[in-house]
Amino acid sequence: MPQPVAPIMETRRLTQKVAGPEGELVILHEIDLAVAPGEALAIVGPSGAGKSTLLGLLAGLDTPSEGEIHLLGERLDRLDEDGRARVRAGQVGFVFQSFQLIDGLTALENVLLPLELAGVTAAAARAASLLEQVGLTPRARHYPRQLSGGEQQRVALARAFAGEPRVLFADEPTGNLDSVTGQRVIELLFALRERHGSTLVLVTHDAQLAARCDRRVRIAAGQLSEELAR
Amino acid sequence: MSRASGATPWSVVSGLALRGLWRELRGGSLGAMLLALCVAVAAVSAVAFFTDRVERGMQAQAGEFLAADRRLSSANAFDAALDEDARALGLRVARTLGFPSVIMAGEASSLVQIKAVGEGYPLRGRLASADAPGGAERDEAAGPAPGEVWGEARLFAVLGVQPGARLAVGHASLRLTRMLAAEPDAGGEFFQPAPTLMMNLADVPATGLVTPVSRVRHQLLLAGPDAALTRFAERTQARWPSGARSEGVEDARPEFRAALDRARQFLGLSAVVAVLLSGAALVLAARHYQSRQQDSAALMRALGASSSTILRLYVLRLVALGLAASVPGVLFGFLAQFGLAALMEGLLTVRLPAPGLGAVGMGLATAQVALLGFALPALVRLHRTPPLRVLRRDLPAPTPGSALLFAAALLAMGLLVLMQAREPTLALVLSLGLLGLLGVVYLAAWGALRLFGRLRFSGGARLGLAALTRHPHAGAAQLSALSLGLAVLLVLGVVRVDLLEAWRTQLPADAPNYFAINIQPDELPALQAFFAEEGIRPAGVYPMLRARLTAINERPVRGEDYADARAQRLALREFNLSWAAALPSDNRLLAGRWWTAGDSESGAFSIEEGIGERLGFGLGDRLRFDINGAPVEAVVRSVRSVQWDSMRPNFFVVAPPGFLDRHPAQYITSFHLPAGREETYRRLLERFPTLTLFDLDALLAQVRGVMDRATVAVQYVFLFTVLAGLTVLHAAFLSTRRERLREAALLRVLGARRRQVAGALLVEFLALGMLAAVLATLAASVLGMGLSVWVFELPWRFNAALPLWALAGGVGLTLLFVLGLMRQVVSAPPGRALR
Repeated sequence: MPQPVAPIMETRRLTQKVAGPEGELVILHEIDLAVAPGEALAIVGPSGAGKSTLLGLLAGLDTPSEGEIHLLGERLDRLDEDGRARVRAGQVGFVFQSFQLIDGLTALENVLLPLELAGVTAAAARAASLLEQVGLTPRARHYPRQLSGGEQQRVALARAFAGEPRVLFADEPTGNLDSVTGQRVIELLFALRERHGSTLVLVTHDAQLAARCDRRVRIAAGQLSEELAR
Repeated sequence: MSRASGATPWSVVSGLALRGLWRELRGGSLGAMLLALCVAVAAVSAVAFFTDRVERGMQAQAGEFLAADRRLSSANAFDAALDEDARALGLRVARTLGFPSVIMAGEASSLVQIKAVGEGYPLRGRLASADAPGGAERDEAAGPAPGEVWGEARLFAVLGVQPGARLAVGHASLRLTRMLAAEPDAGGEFFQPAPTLMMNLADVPATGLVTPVSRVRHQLLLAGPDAALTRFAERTQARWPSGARSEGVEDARPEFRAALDRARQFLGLSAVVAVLLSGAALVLAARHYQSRQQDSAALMRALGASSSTILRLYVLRLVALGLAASVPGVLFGFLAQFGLAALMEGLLTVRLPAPGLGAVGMGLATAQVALLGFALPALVRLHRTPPLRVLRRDLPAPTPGSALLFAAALLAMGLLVLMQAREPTLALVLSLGLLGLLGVVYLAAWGALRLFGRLRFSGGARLGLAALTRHPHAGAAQLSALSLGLAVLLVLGVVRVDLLEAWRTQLPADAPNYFAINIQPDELPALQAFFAEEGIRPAGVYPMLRARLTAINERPVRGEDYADARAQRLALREFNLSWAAALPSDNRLLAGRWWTAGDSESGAFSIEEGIGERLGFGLGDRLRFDINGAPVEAVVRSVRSVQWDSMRPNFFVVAPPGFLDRHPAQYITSFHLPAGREETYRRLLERFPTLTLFDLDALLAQVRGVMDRATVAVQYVFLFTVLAGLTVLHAAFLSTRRERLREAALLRVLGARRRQVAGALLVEFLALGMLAAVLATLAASVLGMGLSVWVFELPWRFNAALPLWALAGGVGLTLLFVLGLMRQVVSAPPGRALR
């Protein structure tokens, strides 16, 4: 029987409410979720169900109305904004649907950014190697607007793994890409995750993509339900 | 790979800040801020470079401006024995004598400032001459030899003479041998209207121009060790004429310094108006920049950057932007100051040294203060951008409260004004005044746009006008900036001329246009006979004697007792007393009574109201004057108002006939000589060569010349205001550029032709230009009316040319601007713009 492992992230009775035009709206209701180190978790559900809200809370980008969030051994709901940023710095990577590269920085500099922000020295070689891993060495000096959507997302992947993150959050990473390009990006994402051993939390509509994860949870009407592996 | 603990190091933050700055400057997203800063820095440094040159020129010449180490000057002659006393103490001595006179060369004549110099002159400083105007300069060890005179270059032009010409100077005929190229003690004034004619002191008696009652300035120049100068003063002071003034190098031209300080303040504050308008552009541009930086800030926060890292990044980037903008700004200001110096050339009596680096600091400081006050507040909340924005683009960074924006802008404005005014009280008053002005103009612009927004138009005009009124604050900022720039130029260019014209036309056509002074009592009958022969009616002939006020009700009068600089000067200088039997026709009795029998015996004074107020005496007060060393005392029996611009001789203090008769006096009169009677003028000078004639028309023309050039210099500085107004337009345009591109694309997709899209843009900016013209005309008219009615007490008349000038300026500027931008908006492919 395997040893029980402490989860790398966990929520307890996590609730998120927002003020709406017709009074308070409960987006997430008392959600308990635990993710083991190295696990790949897919969060699925219809549009507007609260998938991205949950992702934002897990990553400490937002604060919950009620409940606890633990990430990398820290109680996020008790930290202030800078405290949560400190937890993320160098340990958490992101991949977004809209790539979110900084226009004024080259591909290489975008990859370098999280390393620099975390105060990592001698980071340039590592950033270059990451770009090589996503096959974009020739595009290192290009600016985002000079790259195609697929290339931009590959730069974003290189950036996400630059800091050897223990946790990677991905929000609809293929949402803005055609299926062929999306497929290539997914292959790359899982290959990199394999190599770096990062825990992955992935929000997606894409059933195929979700199927590649170790575990899937579905959000509907603010509630979380576990999907069984097919 | 090693990971540092804690905050992101400064090296990384500064690297990010600078890299971003460079990319954004190249990409153009900081262009509006850069441009606004450049204009602000250029305006301030152009003025700073120029005034720094004047200041350094003055300092460099401070040692030589006296042509001595110590200079005694007095309206009365110095005792001849003083020279020997000085020499006995080991001092070197020289004398000079200065007075105005009219000289003739054949048919031509000119008012000149005569400077007669004796042996030993100059004791200090450089005297130089040239063969002819434009010729090579040669240093001179002494002034002209007896029988010769040297004249300033402009005198050759005025008289139309060549070197070697004979000049009639009073009764003497002297040869103009050389051009006076440099004199150490040139003028004492900032501007000197009459050219200098230098002659030998030995020739003065032959001219007959100097009598005991003439208005002249005697100077005794001394050079030598400080101790000897002090000993000399101690030993001989009692023998100096009353009212003698002693000046040392340390007194370095107080009037000049005061004039320079005022000029520096005025030009500097003119430049500040440009800086404040640039500030408005900075506010607009910074808000736009902030909205575009939110994504980057959110991403950096998501990637673990602390809020302090982000704050440091943007502050550093702004500081660096300020430095980057200062380089072209200072360079532009450096070039612009040559223009300013060229405009002021000939008006200044100071030789300007090459521009120094002193002004660079002012440019740099202005850029930083403007950025921190106008741009930073808009960016300062970027570090509070919610990191969740990376998932939800609709989450904005918190915007800074308008109280913070306002307070920071106000503080920056105060600092910028203080940097130019250099006096806290003045800076406070001016800041409040400027704030009021900007506030009123802004409100007027805002109101005009609101009114405009209610009008209904159709077609392309509607689209264009909707664009103008859609962002009320940005629109009002553009409109007020443009209006203010225009209004200032209108006041300087049009209203000023109107005022001068109004003053001239309200003078009667036969108002005296010549003043004759230095009329000796024995010449009086012949002169009056001459006037009768020629059919000239003098406006009263009055005796005039110089006196110094020494006591009011037994209390000695001292300059330092008065706070007001003008009162100080009046208290120290000699002024003219006269006597008259009847109240002059242009005077009005305000209080007391005119002379009664017995006043001639016991004495009495009638004073002008202004002088009494300024120096603190009035009806019933007992005044004591010193006339050539003799005290004269009487009680003030009446107070008069005087119409000074009647062009008739008038006096601050008048006595009854008989009371002052025993003191030597000369006479003064004024008369009207119609144009075309140059013959009469020449005959007058020939018959009475020692008369000093002031041609008021010529003097007025000279004063106007000085005013015109000074105004052009001020207008030149205000051109920066217009440039700054354009930067506001530019910043406002850029902040709506994306929106415009999208809309233009949408219109094109919906079937609009390029011409229609361009037309809407044209309508918008033409309307802006026209509204600005209306506001500027209003502002300039109100200011002009205020100046006419309250300050100069002149009739005011609306100038129909004003709105035309305003319209030409407003529409011209906006057109120039919009034509440059039209292509961007119109020619972008609609598909790309919509994506």
